[in-house]
Amino acid sequence: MTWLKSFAVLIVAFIAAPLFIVLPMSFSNSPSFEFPPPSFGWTYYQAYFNDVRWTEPTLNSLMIGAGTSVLTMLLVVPASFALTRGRFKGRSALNLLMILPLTVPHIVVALGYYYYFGALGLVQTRLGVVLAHTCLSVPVAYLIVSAALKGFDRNLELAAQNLGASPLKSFFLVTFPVLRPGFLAAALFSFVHSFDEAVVAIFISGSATSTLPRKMFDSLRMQADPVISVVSALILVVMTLAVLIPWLMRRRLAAR
Amino acid sequence: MNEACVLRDDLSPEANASAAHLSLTGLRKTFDGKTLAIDAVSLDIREGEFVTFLGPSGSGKTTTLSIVAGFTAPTEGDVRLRGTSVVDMPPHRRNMGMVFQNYALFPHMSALENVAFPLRMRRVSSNECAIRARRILEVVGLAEHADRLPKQLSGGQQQRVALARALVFEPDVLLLDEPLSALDKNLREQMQLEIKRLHKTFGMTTIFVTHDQSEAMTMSDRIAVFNAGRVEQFAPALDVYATPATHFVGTFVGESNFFDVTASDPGAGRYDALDLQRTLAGMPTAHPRGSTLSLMVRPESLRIAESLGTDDPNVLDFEVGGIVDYGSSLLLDGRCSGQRVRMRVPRGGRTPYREGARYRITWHPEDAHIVPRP
Amino acid sequence: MSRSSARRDLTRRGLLLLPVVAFLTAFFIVPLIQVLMLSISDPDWGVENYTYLFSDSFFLGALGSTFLTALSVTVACLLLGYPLAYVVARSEGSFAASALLLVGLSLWISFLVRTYAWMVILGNRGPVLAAMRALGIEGGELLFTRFASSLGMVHALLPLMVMTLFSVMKKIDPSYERAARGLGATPWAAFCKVFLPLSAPAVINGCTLVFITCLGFYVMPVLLGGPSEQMIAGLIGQQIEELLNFGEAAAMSVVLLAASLTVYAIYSRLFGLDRLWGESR
Repeated sequence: MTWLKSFAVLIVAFIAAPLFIVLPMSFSNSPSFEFPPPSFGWTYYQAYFNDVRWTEPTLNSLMIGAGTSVLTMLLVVPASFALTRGRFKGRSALNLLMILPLTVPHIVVALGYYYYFGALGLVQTRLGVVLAHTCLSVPVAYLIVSAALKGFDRNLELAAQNLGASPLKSFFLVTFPVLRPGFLAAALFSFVHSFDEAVVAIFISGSATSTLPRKMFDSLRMQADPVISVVSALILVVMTLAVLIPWLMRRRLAAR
Repeated sequence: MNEACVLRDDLSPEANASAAHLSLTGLRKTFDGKTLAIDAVSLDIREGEFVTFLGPSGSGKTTTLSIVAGFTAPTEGDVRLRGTSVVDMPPHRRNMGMVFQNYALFPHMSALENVAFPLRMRRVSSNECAIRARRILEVVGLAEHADRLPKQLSGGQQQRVALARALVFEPDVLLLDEPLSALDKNLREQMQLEIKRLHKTFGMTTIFVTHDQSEAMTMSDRIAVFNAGRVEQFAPALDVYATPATHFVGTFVGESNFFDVTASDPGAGRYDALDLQRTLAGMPTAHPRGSTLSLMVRPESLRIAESLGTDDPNVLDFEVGGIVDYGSSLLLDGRCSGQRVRMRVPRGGRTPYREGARYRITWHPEDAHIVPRP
Repeated sequence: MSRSSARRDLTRRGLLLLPVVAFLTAFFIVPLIQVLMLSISDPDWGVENYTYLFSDSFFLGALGSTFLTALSVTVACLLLGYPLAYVVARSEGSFAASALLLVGLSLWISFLVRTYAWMVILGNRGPVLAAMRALGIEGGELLFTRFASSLGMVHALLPLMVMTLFSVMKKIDPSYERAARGLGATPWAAFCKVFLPLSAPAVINGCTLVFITCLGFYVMPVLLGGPSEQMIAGLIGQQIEELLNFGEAAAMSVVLLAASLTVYAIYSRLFGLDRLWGESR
């Protein structure tokens, strides 16, 4: 089956290759989108770090991402416990509600927020974006946390209680530490999802409170600003590390 | 089970023989409001006694254990420890140690930390926690593995950590929920001895849940046989084996042959087996004349009776269908007048048994036990 | 005893669920309802927006071509992704592990970074046109075409398709194919008659997820596609930003939403909705 394997290699190359364009382009000294770059240097890296029109959205995105992550976890964790333990009427309806934001195209939600948050005065605020992004992160965070909960051995809690821990203590000493990897995965996902989210941000973040994706979108539309190459490269590297490092650490722990 | 092999431990402490240490009164539980998981379970367990809850899956033994531990609340009934009702007490205050079927060792803590956990909950100083935890790990033979995580330990080692964890704080009652079912045969037998040894050392009231009747026989002071939510017999192992109270107990513990009989002269031990068209001799009982009963004979109690005539009361014609060789004994599977009968014979001695051969078989009346027909 | 504890359970459960339910209602359900209301109230009450849209050939054309594009992207992802997923699910070596790692990582890369990469590759000064010129093929604009946006979308959604397929394929017991081979089937026959049917749920899951994502895709078609061949999401965006035509935008949104939900409903009726995300994650 070697022709099959060669085909597979080609597909992987297709998936990965365009991204190998990004890193070299960021070192290009030319303002155009010319590839291969005519000359190399740190020009646009310097431009990025010195340009407040880029650094501010970056900071905004980081703050909004953190806020979204925290808010999402605060909402999702209790709900996941309630929904994965015990049967009750309305459980499937609530399940559906938790997943619902995943099924709606972002442009539709963006229109809703544009109008609704406009009325509430939340457009062009970071808070508004956090609220919107939280809604959009809830479904997958919920899926991740409830999967972790379903795989959790309830006997551990019973054992802790039998050995003298009150229900609260057993949660903090046993349940939470064992579930922590799942929680971290959900929190990380919410952060990345918010950081990358473009459509809603385009419509409801203002120019002062613009997010990085929105700034990138505007910049790509105009095709004017070469700093986009640096931003892309940085995002690529940081995201890769953010996903790779926990994965490697988990592998090392498992092998111990 | 081939032979009634019971390790009776004469050293089981029976202090406070009169007052029960742990008593279950009229326990009843329904999960859906309609079907009863357990019904009218009442047991008085003495201090230091090793009691086994024996029964098939779904018989209610695990539910009862769960009620004793406090994980399930009974629909009706009471649980008393030394006379005080604990049924409303949450599990973390009952001071009982439990070993789960899948051990439930905390995966993020080392063996030592697992064992020290109940001591931490009782506010023992961390120094003393470590000392006492290490000491009991030595008792179970795991001192060098104290700092390993559960996933780095074998099944048998995890078992012993779970035991140590349940014993370290010297609970009033030790509860074991089918702890050995995941182990292979050799390890299981080893652990049975280990548990008995620990029971002798610490002397605490113990409830052991299992579906394996030979395990129950070897380990218990008394066995409570569960069937469909009720306790059909609660008696020492030997009594459960020799004089089962019901048809179910007779079939579940050890093998048995059952003959449908009506009591023709029960006071003299005479019972009519209509299908076999003869009168059988068994233990004298006080059942009313004419009652429908079962006469139970264990396969090892049957013997070949060449010298007796076929008109003698306890002689049946037995035709051998199949022979299973167990090494030290043989099981002859065959029929008496169409009814399936099994008989166990020692190997050696007489000429070899053959399939299709016919023998006259008999038994001592005292070996024939009478139970109500189900 | 059990009645009061049952009530305690109910209040505890209610408290755990209240925050997220209240939050989603206030900040998700309400905006959606607003969109619905907008579609029938702006500029006047009534269904004029809908009647206009469904008689407007431009809109209908855009709707149709959105569906067609979504379909072709889905098929392309399937054709490219299935062999890769199969190879990764069935081989043990380092290739499988590194391929899986690479595809998994690329799932996390934002659409904007991908768009930038394709703008460079397909752009005037990019390698593709340079190669074409070297081969003597002149005068082609690859960027800002339906082709560019489709290619971008395929590239963006291929990892999703591969991972969805892989997660189900991995669970297919290899002993089935071995049994078939042992009974005399050629490798190809074993694949067609055993593996392929067993992978059908994976294919359905992957295609559903990719198709729906494609329907509502905004960023890549707007940036990589041409202004005359818009997809629905881009059209909606245009109505909001440039034309301030909220009623029409809302009506279009409702149509798009209805299309997405219909696909989900069909999937749910045939397979049950939990299977969609339960398997793919």
